[in-house]
Amino acid sequence: MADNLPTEFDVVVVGTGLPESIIAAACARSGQRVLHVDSRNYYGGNWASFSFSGLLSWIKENQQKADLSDECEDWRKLILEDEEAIPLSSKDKTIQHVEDFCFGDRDCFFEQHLTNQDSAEGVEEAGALPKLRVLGALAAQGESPGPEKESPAEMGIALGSQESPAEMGIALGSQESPAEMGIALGSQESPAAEVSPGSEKENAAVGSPGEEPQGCSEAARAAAGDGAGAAPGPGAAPSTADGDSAPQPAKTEAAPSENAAQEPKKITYSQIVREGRRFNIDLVSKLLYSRGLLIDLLIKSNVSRYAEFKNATRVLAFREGKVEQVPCSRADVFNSRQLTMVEKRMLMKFLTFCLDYEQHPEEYQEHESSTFAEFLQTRKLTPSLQHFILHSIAMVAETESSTLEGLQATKKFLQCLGRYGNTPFLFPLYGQGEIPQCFCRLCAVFGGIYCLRHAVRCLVLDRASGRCKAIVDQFGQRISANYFIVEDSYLSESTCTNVCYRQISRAVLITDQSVLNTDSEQQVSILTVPPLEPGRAAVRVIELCSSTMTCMKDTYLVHLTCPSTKTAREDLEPVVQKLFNLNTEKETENEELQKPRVLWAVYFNMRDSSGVERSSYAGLPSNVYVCSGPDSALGNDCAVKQAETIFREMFPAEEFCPPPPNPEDIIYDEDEIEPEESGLNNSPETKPETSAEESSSEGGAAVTKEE
Amino acid sequence: MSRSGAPEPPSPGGPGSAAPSRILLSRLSHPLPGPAAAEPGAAPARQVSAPQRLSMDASKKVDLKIIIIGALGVGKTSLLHQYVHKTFYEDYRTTLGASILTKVLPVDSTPLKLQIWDTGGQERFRSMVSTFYKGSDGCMLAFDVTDRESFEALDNWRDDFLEKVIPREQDFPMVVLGNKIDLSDRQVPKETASAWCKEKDIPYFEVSAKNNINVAEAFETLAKQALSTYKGILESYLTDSIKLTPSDKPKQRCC
Repeated sequence: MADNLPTEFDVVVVGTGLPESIIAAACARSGQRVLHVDSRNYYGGNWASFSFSGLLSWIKENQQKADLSDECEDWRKLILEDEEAIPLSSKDKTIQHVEDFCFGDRDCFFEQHLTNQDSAEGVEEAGALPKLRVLGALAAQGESPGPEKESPAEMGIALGSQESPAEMGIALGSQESPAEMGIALGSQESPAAEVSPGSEKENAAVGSPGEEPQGCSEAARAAAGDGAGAAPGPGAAPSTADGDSAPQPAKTEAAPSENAAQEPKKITYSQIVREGRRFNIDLVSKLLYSRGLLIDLLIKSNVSRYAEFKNATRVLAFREGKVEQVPCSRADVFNSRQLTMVEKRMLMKFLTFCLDYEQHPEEYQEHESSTFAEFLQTRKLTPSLQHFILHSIAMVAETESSTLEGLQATKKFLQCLGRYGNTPFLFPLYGQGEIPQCFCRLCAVFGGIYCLRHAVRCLVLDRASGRCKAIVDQFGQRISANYFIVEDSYLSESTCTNVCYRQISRAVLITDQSVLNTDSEQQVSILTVPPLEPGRAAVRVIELCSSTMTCMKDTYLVHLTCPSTKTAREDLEPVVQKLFNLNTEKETENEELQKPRVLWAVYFNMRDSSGVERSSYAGLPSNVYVCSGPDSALGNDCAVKQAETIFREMFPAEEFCPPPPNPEDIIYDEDEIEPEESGLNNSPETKPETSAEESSSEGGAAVTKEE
Repeated sequence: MSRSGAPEPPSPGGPGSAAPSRILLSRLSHPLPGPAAAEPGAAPARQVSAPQRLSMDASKKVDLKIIIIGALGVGKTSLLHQYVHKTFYEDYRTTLGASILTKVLPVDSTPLKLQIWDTGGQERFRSMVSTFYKGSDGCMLAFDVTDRESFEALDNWRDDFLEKVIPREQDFPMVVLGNKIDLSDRQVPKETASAWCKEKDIPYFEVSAKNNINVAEAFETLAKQALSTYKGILESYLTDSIKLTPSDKPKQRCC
């Protein structure tokens, strides 16, 4: 439905990440007319979450170097003489070194093989070292890796396997038994029975439960997309699972009760693709502290009504090659079977002290110039307790954090215990990507206008006043406002020329069982892995079960994060190797067998634009504010603090995200309303006070209508 | 709330696994060493979560999330207000402030709490947050019988919706409302709309928010559909979740 966008607002917000969405909500809430735009067709920017196919598109987009935008400069004509244009960036450059992998599942092979059908490369590919990068369900063509990617050979081997790349289960002409392929399809039968060794790709279709090939070809059809028609080449016809195997559609997903509950379900790549919408994969991996700025804001503003949360159920540590559970609450400590009685007393004593450490300065004063790690050594704590406290509770850096920092962090952790659950943390159902959207919804509900797929070409600066007066959008429309909020990634290179950015290394894995198997499969766990080498950062791992609605049943979604030292893969793969099994079914050691299997992985570096001084941006008018992208901390304090600071600078007299009025107090005054054709009049005078966030007919709390 | 109440259909045959354990907060409300009583003075800003053992006894209220979508100006908010508050605002305005309306109604001896999400005006430039769709149990498609375009847009709205929700085995509970039948300058004949709906196997209601014609029937039909679908896919594996609220009243939640 065509509709015209008004051309005058009080505040224009560019970008729908968390800080700017909070600001937009606060502004709309205080009666400002807000226009909130994003150049993308999804909300959240770098805070977004994606379905599986959505993520594959995102990966593809970020692996391509192509400049997608139309660099039409017509908008320059709209700039008047007494004005100056500050162009905004047309291409996002915040994501780098994106590498994705599909493991041990010959369906992956089919995926990429089928999409390679069109290119002559396809045939070569088959014989060559496996190109492990998954082209994804939306990939249109087989393509060679972009210039920034390593050669397939490196990729093939670098994944921790010293064996031939056949380990990955993808190679044709592999000397490994393609029986591996049989297993990967969820068949419970012995692989040898199904597939003859040395078989070529034709046989790969054979031996699969009937359902699998269909799934494969569906996905392949999707992959081939635009009429490449997914016409499988001879022999690679996944749908012709004729002959050798009886169709067993139920088999892939059935878990007959005889099956040991411990044995992970065999999930295949094509299942992941098929169930892709059950995945909500966040680009940002964070948790909410139960007593933190974000939770408090969500509750205060009532935005919490738009979301639901799950408890993080476990805090884990990685010590001496093993994953252990860290007892954090009193009950945990008492019930722990790992700690000795002595340790339990030690731990309780220390944590009790930490809870109000300021009252006992004598205990730590002498150590104020030491590191927290050193301080812990003086405290009659066993090495394992010290490890738990330093890495999993305080979560501070061993060599750099001071005693006071450690104590404060420990205290924060402890204070958050028990508010909602056994750990200090909550996680939003459907993923972190929900949170910015919840604030956007609040903004919309209070009159904010939302336009995705709406890029801004430039800011228009008034020479005389030095203030920004308008933006020009991609449609050549000038839109004026008093204040402008722009997320960092939209700023041009020249504006950011003096800015030194840090980076965040990220990995997302889909795995088939938890890093720590216990009675309950449905756990949300946070695990801090101390630096594997000196000079590196600790790696934070968050493992999500399917009841968080972020992954399909019988899988886990694992997020790894650390401040970047190198590429994400270089930073994080060593940790992935320690915790997970990257090989296919052909395990050599028992140890590997016990580790969860990675089904799919992606690594990427994301710009960390947090903490950048406003003055570092060149030539910013005084009424233009910059919001940063995600930071690497666990909580969301940075985003909330920014938003509040900026809001208070713009509107010092206004309350920041006050609770909506009680529905019972609402009086709807008809006289003040002027009928508008577009019904868009958002200005405060005509906005009624029927700002009932939720009106309920339950208790008769109806909105009353004046005559 | 619906999201926790309406789990996605499980993969066939998979045994349900227990959801993260629910903890009665009084046990752990004070961190470490102190007494295990509820914290003094703490704002009890949380839900007491019920044990997740699922039971469908009639006394347990079921929360369902219903969304109402359709082109701008067809009367979605008015329909909502008519149903929930029995009020009608003559002057057109985009939704301001009211974003989720709640209605409790008993359906087949199950007390049902409908949480009906209005769009917040974001449909204007087709910029709905996906949060809006997540966890919905039923969908109301609305158009204006005096606006042909709004009827033709139904296909898009429906497709959009189906793309965004997790596919289910059975059809997603949906109804179509042709609103503003009180006006005379109709552009969409009843037969046309009915035919479209029949083809898609969706119940069709001709309604008037202004004169309160058929509104309750439409909502109740959708509610019933949604409830029976919900019951059908319910199982012990559930996303028992936490809702944050500033109020003290313990809200009942479905399991």
